[in-house]
This record gives sequence, structure tokens and C-alpha cells, in this order.
Amino acid sequence: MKIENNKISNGQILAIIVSSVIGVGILSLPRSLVETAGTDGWILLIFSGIIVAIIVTIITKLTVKFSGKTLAEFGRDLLTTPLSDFVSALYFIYLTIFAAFVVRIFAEIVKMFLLADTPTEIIIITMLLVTSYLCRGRIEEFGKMAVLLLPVVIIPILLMIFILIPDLDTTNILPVFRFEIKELSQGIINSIFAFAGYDLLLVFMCYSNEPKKALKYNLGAIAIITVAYLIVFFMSIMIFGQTETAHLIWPSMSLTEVVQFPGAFIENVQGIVMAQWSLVVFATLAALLYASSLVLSKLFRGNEHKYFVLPTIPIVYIMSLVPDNIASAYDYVGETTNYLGIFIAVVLPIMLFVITLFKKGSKKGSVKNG
Amino acid sequence: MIISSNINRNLQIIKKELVNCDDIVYRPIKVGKKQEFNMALIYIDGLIDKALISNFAMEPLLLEARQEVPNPQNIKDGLFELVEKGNLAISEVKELKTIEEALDNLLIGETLLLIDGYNKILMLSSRGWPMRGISEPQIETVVRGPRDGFNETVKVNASLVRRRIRDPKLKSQYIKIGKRSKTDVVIMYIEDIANKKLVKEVFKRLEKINIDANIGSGQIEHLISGNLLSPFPQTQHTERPDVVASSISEGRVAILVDNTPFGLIVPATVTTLLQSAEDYYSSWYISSLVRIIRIFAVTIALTLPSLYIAMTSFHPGLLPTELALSVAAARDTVPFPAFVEAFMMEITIELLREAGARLSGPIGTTIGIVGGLVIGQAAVEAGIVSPLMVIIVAITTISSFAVPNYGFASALRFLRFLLMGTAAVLGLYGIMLGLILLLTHLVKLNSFGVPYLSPFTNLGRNLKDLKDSIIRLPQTVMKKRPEFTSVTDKTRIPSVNGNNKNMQELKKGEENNEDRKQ
Repeated sequence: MKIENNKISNGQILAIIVSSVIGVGILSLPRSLVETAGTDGWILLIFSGIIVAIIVTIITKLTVKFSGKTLAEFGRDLLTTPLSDFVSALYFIYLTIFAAFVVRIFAEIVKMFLLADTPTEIIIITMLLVTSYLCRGRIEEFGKMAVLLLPVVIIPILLMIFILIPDLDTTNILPVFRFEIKELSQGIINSIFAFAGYDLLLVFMCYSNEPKKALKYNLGAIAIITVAYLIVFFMSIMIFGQTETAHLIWPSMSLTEVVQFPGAFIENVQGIVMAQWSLVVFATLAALLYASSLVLSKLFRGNEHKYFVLPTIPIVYIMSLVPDNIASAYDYVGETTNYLGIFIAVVLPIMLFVITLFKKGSKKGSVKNG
Repeated sequence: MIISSNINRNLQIIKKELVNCDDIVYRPIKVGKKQEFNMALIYIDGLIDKALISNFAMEPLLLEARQEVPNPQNIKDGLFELVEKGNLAISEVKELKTIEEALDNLLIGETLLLIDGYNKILMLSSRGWPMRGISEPQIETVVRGPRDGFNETVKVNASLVRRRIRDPKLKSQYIKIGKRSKTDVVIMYIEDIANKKLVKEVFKRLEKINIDANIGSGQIEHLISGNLLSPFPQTQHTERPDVVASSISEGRVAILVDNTPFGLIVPATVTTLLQSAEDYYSSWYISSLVRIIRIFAVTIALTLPSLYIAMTSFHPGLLPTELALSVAAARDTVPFPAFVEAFMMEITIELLREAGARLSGPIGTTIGIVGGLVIGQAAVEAGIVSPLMVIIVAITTISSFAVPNYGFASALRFLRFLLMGTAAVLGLYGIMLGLILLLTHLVKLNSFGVPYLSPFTNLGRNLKDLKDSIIRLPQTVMKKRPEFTSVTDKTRIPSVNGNNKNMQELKKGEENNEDRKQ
């Protein structure tokens, strides 16, 4: 009885997007928001959430129109083949840079909290190999895993509210509405970076079993992410205050250090947090690796993405070792998002959508004429 | 081989086929007033009901047929018919056309009746061998459930299930497996509930089995599993007819195998493997609580020793300070690294378990006492292991006994050692890597096309199945059958209108009763 048909449900796509976006973004999000907009970071967050929602709508419309095709394939219809292949190659590079960044940051955190003496290389390569086991599987398996991991991503964030309520200082979010419009436009680009990963819809939407109903789920995913980010932002700013949040490397991680269980039978929740964290990173990394091997296979006109997973791993591995430290890793990925990221995640979907409108128009015209 | 009409020739052929089989009894008889008809009975000593054959087959043939004075001319042609239809007081009689057929039936435990002058053999149903009575299940005991369990005879087992579901749609189909053993295998399902594809797949996999001798359902389980490399059981074994009955009423398919008191139910998922029959006999919140405890038990059985290794040898900082100090103090005299210590104790426990399982009752208990108490105590006093390690090993073992399915518990036992290995190399991170690999494997695993981890792996249709997964909601809430098997008939409890109708009928019945009383 084969019930596998290479399709996943919209709910599974939602899970993929949520767990892969929250994975990296949440770590440094409160810091970057505070740096650009101070206590008004949440307004920035809501604004960028809305912008991302609009882009996601565009992507969904685009992928529904070409249902069953990934970016690499419908790109060939819209752009010319060489141009589309170039875009696919850029997308592959973007995904691998991101994967490398995720795995590097993860390795640094593991080194900091758990394995001080283990070489970073070992942590990176073991994580990549473990992830490749899932990525070599079918899309259904990947969808199932994302759903399984969704509560692992979401529940701790909700739990944190209850645990941290006594420590919250609500006066820290004041003053409100003190930013200027100029800062806003600059900050939004920064905070869209926190949503990076929604562009995976370009790849994964082609597997939806009901593409027509997907929009609701995709917007739901963005809503879940925005709410989760808002919670984390408010928590860290209420607990640490504006200045301290700006100085912490990973405010969200530091939040867990504040956590004190009643009765103090567990003094240090770091272990639990690290365990949960590695599952979250696994989800993110798997999505990126899966997508990048898929893009690579389409680029080479392959049918099975399976054979492109292992070749992708050394690329990610080498890229992840390029930065000397965490700061330079953030610099590298900042550069990437500023140019490549904006192009892939914002410009490209809009551009493709405009082209479809244009093409549709010309088609109609030609029908009328003919 | 065709049966000849000469009885002596037939006997010769059968004797030649069954040469050196001394348990076979040949009983030539002469029938009729003048004893002019030669016949022979063949059966296997011990496999038949001897009283049945002598009272209801031999007696009519030898004694009653002698008193009659039929016209020999008349019966000469119809002798076979006469014997088959009018002479034997045996419940089931069948004509056989070939020697092979005859041999098959003989070896099952039927009796063959050869009649001179006819090229066919009569089969008299006479199966009756010594068998164990229906006794209480050994490994799946419950407090409030029924006490009957399967035994080694498949017909009895099938009837135990049939007794619980009196539905003409409950099908039980027999097939034979094994070139030599020719073991009876019964496939039971409810036709209008079970998914047709699932039933077809079960038949396909069973018919594909190509072995010479089948020893039991464990072998069948292995042969119909989709993924042979997985340590996890992909079928659910049970020795309880009530479990089989409730499973097939949820649209699953049961496979009962002769000579085994264990039936197999497919498909199996993690949820079904962590359920016990008890869950449905006690109140819903108690069984929900018990299920949560079971999941806790699975977690402990899988990870506790590896967590000990990771915490003591890699990150003592993650423990509360006082606990970390007392652990360190306890491990002060231990000359081994934590991994060796844990590994040694786990191996000892496995040894004890194995030795206890192979020994019968009282001796097994002694092993437990000697092993558990004496060795544990002595090892601690000698300073070879720390007291904490003994506690951990004990809790781990107890937890693994709290897992209801034996196959699943064994898989956990096996994986525990792997996790101890990864913990020894990479600490907590290693455990997480191991768990991620395990999770990936479970996500990839299917049991007869059903995801092993359903209903946890899909947001949408299957979400309804959560009602009967980690928790169990009251029966009245679960009006629909679980959907993971893609059942054909989804409604378990008819809708409200239907209920009202039933209630009305009930009331009517009560009124009638009262009328009668008056």
C-alpha cells in the first residue's frame, strides 16, 4: 500500500517554513532590533512582518500558477534558460551560505555551552552528516519531520512567558513611537533578514497537495513567526533593558540563563535549552540543505535530488569555516543578505510576478488578435 | 498422482510415500454382511480424535452394516455414495481425487477412508490433538480486562475473535505458508471497515513468503516487514483476543498463525505499540495519565544511562551544584570512566534479564534477587560502581518493563547502547545527534504504508487521531474511527439522530417488558 505520492500537505509546508525561519533569526533578533530602532523595535517587526506577508502572497500566487514546478523550472518559462540557470545558481549559493552560517553559529554555541575542547570542525561535520540522512529522503519524510519538530520550536517560546512573568519590567518598553521614518526604512531591511527562509516557499510550494488553499497556511506561518519574534523581543527588552540587550551577542540565549525553575531542582536549564536548540537548528539546516540540493539537481536537470545532497555537504562545510569568529560570520552573512538576500527574497519574486502579469497580458492580446 | 481403483495399490503407494513414518496407523476392514467390501482407514496416531473415529466411523461400518441385508447388486455401484452419505456419523466428509491431496489431509490430522473399487478417497474430519487450554495471557496482563488468551491452535484463536464480533462482514481467510510445514495462517478483517488496499497488501506480502518451514508468528513478522534493517517492530504482536477484536474494528488487519499464541496486527504505529488493553477498560483520565507515564518511561529507558555518561564526563556544570558535588563524591572511588561503568552495569542487567527469562519461575526469581541485590550491593561496597549508577540502571530497567509492547521495548534496549556510545564520544551533543538520527529513522519508517509516527506527523486530516494517542478521550467523544489506516467506514458511533433512535428502541423494549410483567 503506497500512499506516498511526492506531495506534502499545506500544514507540513507551514511547519517547514516556521521551523526553518525561527531557527536562526531568533538568536540575534532582539539585539539587531534594538540597535536599529531602540525600544520601538516591535513596530519595526510588525512592519516587516506585513511586508514579508505581502511577498509571501506574491510567491504563493506565483507558485500556484506554476503548480508542480520549482523556481528553477518555472524560471525557465519566465526568464530565458541561461538567465534562469544563473538565478538558480545564485539561489544555490545563497542557500549554501545560509546553511554554512547556521551550522557555524550552532557549532560556536555548542562549543560555548557544551563541548569546550571539541574542535568546531567535528561539530560541523557531524551535524551536516546527520542532517544529510534526512535530506536524502523523500519530501514526505521531510514534511513529517518538520511537523514533529514544530512543537519543539514553538512550545519553549510560550513556556518562557509563564516562567519569566515575575521578572518582567514593563517600563523597559517605554518610550514608544520615537523613531523616524528614515530609520524605519533602513531598519526594515535588517529585520527582514530575521525572516530569511520564507523564500524556501519558492522551492517547497511545488510539493503542495492543495496549492489553491496554500495562501492561508503560508500567511499563517508568517503570523506565527511574527508573534514568536514579538514575544522574544518583548521578553528580552523587558528583562535586560535597551542597553544591555544591545550588548548581548545572543539575547534569546541569555534569556534562558535567567530562567529559574520554582524550587530550583534544576539549577541550570542550559542543558535542556541546548537539547531543544539542536533540534531547532537541525530543522533549519535540513530545510536549507534539502532546498539547496534540490536547486542543484534542477540546475543539472536531475530527477533525484538525493544524489546532490552529499556533494553539497563539502561546499557548506568549507564555507562554514571561512569566517574566523562569530562576529565575522555575522559580517559575512550580513553582506550576503544585503545584496544576494534582498535580490532573492524580495526582488526576484516581485520581478517574476510582474513578468507573469506581463506575459498573461500579451497572451490574452495575442488570442484576441488571432 | 491419480488414485487407482484397487485398494491394495493405493495402500502400497501411500505406504511408500510414508515409509519410516511409524506414527501412521493403517486399519484394513471388511464391511458388509458377507464382508465382501474391502476398506481401509488411515490416520496419524495422536493427531486424531480416536473415540470419534471408532464410535462414529468404524462402528457403523463394521457392526451396523453387517446387520443390514441390502441387495449386493444394488449397492455395488453406489457403495461409495452410500458410505459417504448414509453411513458415517461424522460432521465433515470430503471426497479426494489425488494422492497428494489425501496425504495433505492425512498430515493435518484427518482420517482417510479407502474403499476398494473406487478411484477416490474419503476424508473424515477427525482433527483432535492434545492442546493447551485457553489460559491467561502471560506478558499482556490487565487488571480489569478479560482473562482469555490465545493458545497454539489457530482455529481456537480465530473463534475467540469471532465470538467478540458477530458480524457477517468479519472475514477470516486461511492461507498456507511454508513448503514443508504448510502452516495455517488466518487473516481476519472487517470487510467494510478495513481499507481494501491494506488487505490486498497483507495478502500480497504473505503470499510472497517463500520458506520451507514456518515456526511461528515471529518469523512471519520478520518476513512481512517492509524495512528489515529497522530495530522497531512494524507489526503489533498480541496474545489477547480482545486486542485483536478492537484493532480490527478500527480497520486494521489481524494475522493469526498456527502454533503460536501470538497474533500479529498491522499496521502498527508508535501510538498503537504504546497502548495497552487496560487503557480502554479504565476511566479515560486514568488511562491518559498512564499513557503519559509510558512516554516518560520510553524516554528514560532510552536515554537515562547516556545522560549519566554525558553529565558526569562532559558537562557536570549543567547539573545543580549540590547534585554535581554528590555525584562526584560518589564516583570518587570508581576506577573506571563513566562510560565503562555504565556499560558494565547495563551488560550485567541484560545478563540477569536473559538468565531470568530462560529459567522457570522460582529459579528465575532467585536469579533476580542474587543478581539485583547481592551483586548491586557488593559492587557498590567494593567501589567498582557508584551507588548512583545502580539507581540509574534500576530505573532504566523498570522503565523498559513499563513499555507495553515487548518488541518495542527490545528495540529501546538495543538503541540505549548506541546512545551510550554517542554520549561517550560527544556528550549531550552526541545524544542529541543520536536522537535526531533515531527520529529521522522513525519518520522514514512505514508500516504497511502507514507512517510509523502518525498521527504526529501531519497537520490536518490525521489531527483527529490525537484524541486517542498521548491521551485517551472518553469513548463518546471518539465518534469516528482513527484515520491512520484510511478506513472505509469512518463512523464508529452513529450520529445524534441515530442515537436517539436507539434510545427510542430501548425505551420501547422496556415498555414491552413492563407490559409482559403486567
